[in-house]
Parts: sequence; C-alpha cells; structure tokens
Amino acid sequence: MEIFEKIKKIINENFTIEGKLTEETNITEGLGLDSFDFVTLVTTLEEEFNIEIAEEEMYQIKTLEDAVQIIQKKL
Amino acid sequence: MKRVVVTGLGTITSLGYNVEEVWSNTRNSYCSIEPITLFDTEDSSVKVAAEVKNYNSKDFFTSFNSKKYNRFTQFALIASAEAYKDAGITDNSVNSNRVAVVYGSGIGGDTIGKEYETCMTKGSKYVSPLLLPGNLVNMAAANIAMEYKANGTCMSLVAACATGTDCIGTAFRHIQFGMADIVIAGATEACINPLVVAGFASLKAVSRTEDKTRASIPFDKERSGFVMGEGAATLILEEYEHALKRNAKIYAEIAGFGTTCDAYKIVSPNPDMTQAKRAMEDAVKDAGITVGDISYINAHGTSTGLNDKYESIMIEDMYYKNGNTVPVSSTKSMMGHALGAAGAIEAVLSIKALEDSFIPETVGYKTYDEDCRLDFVTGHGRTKELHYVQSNSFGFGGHNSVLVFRNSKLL
Repeated sequence: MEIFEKIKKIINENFTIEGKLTEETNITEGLGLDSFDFVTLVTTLEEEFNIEIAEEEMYQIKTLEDAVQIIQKKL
Repeated sequence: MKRVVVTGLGTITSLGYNVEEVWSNTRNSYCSIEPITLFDTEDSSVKVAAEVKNYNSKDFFTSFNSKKYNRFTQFALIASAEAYKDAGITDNSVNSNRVAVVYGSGIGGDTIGKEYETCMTKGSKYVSPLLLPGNLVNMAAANIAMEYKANGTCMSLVAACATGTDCIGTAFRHIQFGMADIVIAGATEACINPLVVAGFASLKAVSRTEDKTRASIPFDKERSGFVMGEGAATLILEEYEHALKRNAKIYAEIAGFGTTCDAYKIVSPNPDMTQAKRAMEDAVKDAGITVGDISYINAHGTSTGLNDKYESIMIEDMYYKNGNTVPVSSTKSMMGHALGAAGAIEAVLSIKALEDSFIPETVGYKTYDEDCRLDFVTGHGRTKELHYVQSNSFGFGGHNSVLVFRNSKLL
C-alpha cells in the first residue's frame, strides 16, 4: 500500500476525523492532537513501517506530506 | 456516615477475561498456573506464573491506544469497562463531580527496563516519549477517569500486596464521608517480566517449583514461595441511597475496613502479629459485628513460609479460640499472586462467594503443616449460606489491610 494511504488508514482507525485527509493536513491542528498524542502517533508509524525516527526528526513533521517524506527516506 | 454498596464488578485475570469466566473457573477449582510465555525463562530460576492467557491488546484497543497504555493500564481499563457497564451508569444518573476514581498498582508500568536499555545502548534521543505517560503508577487511575469523565477525586494508592484492599477501603471512606456518590475502585498489576521476576527470585520470595500443581500451595507444608500472577479488578462503589434511587443492582455492602502497619521489617511480617490482628479487629468492629459473625475468610494466603504460618496462627487466636471455626481459603492457589491487584480481585471473589453462597477451595492442598491448623476448604469448594465475608491483604512494607463485606440480603 502506498505510504500516504497507509498513514491515512492508521489515522482513520484511531481517530474520528471530520473532513478529508490530504497531504497538506497539519497533524496537530488538523487532527486536534496534543503533543502526547502526536508522539504516540509517530511511535505507531515507526512500528507500522519498521523504522526509527529520532527526536529532532520527529519535530520536523508538521503535515502528513512531511510524514510521508520522512518514512520514504527511511524505507 | 453514608452506607456504601457495590453496584458493578469487572475483572481480568489468569482465570478469565470477565467476572463470569473467572468465577466459574474459581468454582470449578481450576488452577491457571502454567509455564511462563511472556519471556524466555532459560536464564530464570522461576518457570511458572499465572498469566492472562493469550492476551492481545489489539482485541481491546486501537493500535494507537495499545501503545499509549502500558499493560497494567490496559487491564485496568478492561476491568473497569466491565464494571461500569455492569453498574448501568448513564450520564444523566450521575453528577460527574461526584464520581471518583481510587485505583492503584504495586509496580505500575513495566517498560522502564526496556527504555533504560535503549537509553544506554542507542542513546537518550531514542528514549520513547511514552516512557513516563506509560509507566507512572497513576496512569491507570487517570485513564479510567478520562474514559468515564470522572471529575471527582482521582487517587492512586500504592501499598504492595495490600494495594487493592487499600483502594477499596479508601473508596469506601470517601463515600461514607460524603465526598463522592460513586467511586470506580480497584487495582491492577502486570509485571511478569524478566527484571521483576528476577527481583522476586533474588529475594527468595517466589516458588522455583516447575511442577505447576505444586507451585502455589497456600498453607501446605511443602510450600516454597508465591507464584506471580497478573490482572485487574474493578468494583463500582456507590452511596446506598444513590444506588436505590437509580434502581441499581446491589451485589453487597462494604461493611468494614481496617488498616494498620507493622512498622517492623520490609519483607517479613512481625511475629507478634499485633498490628495484623488489629487490622482484622478494626475491620470487624467497623462493620459493627464480632468475629463470631464472619462466615468465610478469603485469606492473603500467598504460599510463602511466613505469611501462611502467621496468618493461620492469628486467625486461630482471634476466631477459632473464640468459638468460630471459620472456613479460610486462598484463591491464590488458583490464580497466583497478582500483587497490587490481588486485594481487588479477591474483593470480587468475596462478593461472588456471598452472592452464590459458595466458598472456593484452597486448590492443590496436600500436606498438613502443624502451624496451619484451620479449615482450609480443601478437596472441593463448599456451598454455605454466607452473611459476612472477610478479605485479608498483607503487603511488603508491613501493610495490613482487611475488608468485611455484608450480604446484600442483610441490608
């Protein structure tokens, strides 16, 4: 499954989302996540894609596209 | 002071995933102790435990929440979901400011060891941000409060093996003194991992027997230590009039609570037993009854040399010598010792015993010990009309906590 589709699937399984998820969706504001939820989401993505994201990389992830890019880089 | 009743029960243990399963297996004297599967025991001197069988967090939680909630919190939420539903509480039947949570654990989270290893080998920037929100002991209580929007007291007590009993006793006092109408009370434990098991093994507190039928044998002369268990139990405690008003099912009344501290040694009980006896006396007095009124004692009965000996002697002194040869059994013979959760699980079993007029067996008992001279309900469980059931919990640190439950027919 394409990375973006997989990320959308994970988000939809775990959150109730209003509106459509696009590459530009801002993760914290768009999904209404606080910082704890955000890091939990990143950890979930790490597990799903079997990668490791260091702390400084994690804080560069603002949109879903940023998440796709970082995951792609590590696969 | 207000009266306090129990209007909901929930549990998950090695004997089952809910109250019906756990009680049915208890009635049938089923021993759930098996070889450990949660980690490789090649290097461990301890080979058996009472694990929750085939547990998969994704059967209960989303992948996101499976990561957020450490195992002990997961068990707490599962038990609390059953209890809350059982109590039939709806939004308009309660004032959320008067719904409290008193929920504890002996050890709390169990991923600290793994994160420490990550920190030391990979580096500090790889330590999971979930380390603290996952492992802090109060996370079970906090997550329960969030789940049920309980805005009253949210408290997490810790008293080793007396944790569960202390949480229920404290919840009882909250309602008695008018601080809450409902308390989601209980305890949880999930620490069957190489580090904690090794710690108990080094203390010589756990049984190293590989024969699962001779590992947790409370009061038996050949006992050699406890068997680790895990799980959680939740009781919904409610102010009596409040329960009547919303037509809640009433399982039993919390009649009395007694709690003292040996202030003697960390892992050995005081041989003079003064404080442990006082906890039992206080609970009975608090219930407004005498030792002669107790119909059954669910013992702490851990299968350790000292606890079982002193607990037997105390009960003989206080009850038997006063004319009450009360039956005493230890359900740890079937589900091992769930540490902080034990007192809460045993409260559920004590209440089911009252409801069903049935005393569970001390399973696996074979060899008489001259220091343990009580009626341990051996061979099979026993049908008996029960009026008052007492539950004992004695924890590392010298914590002595006792609850007395009254049959709802006596309300």
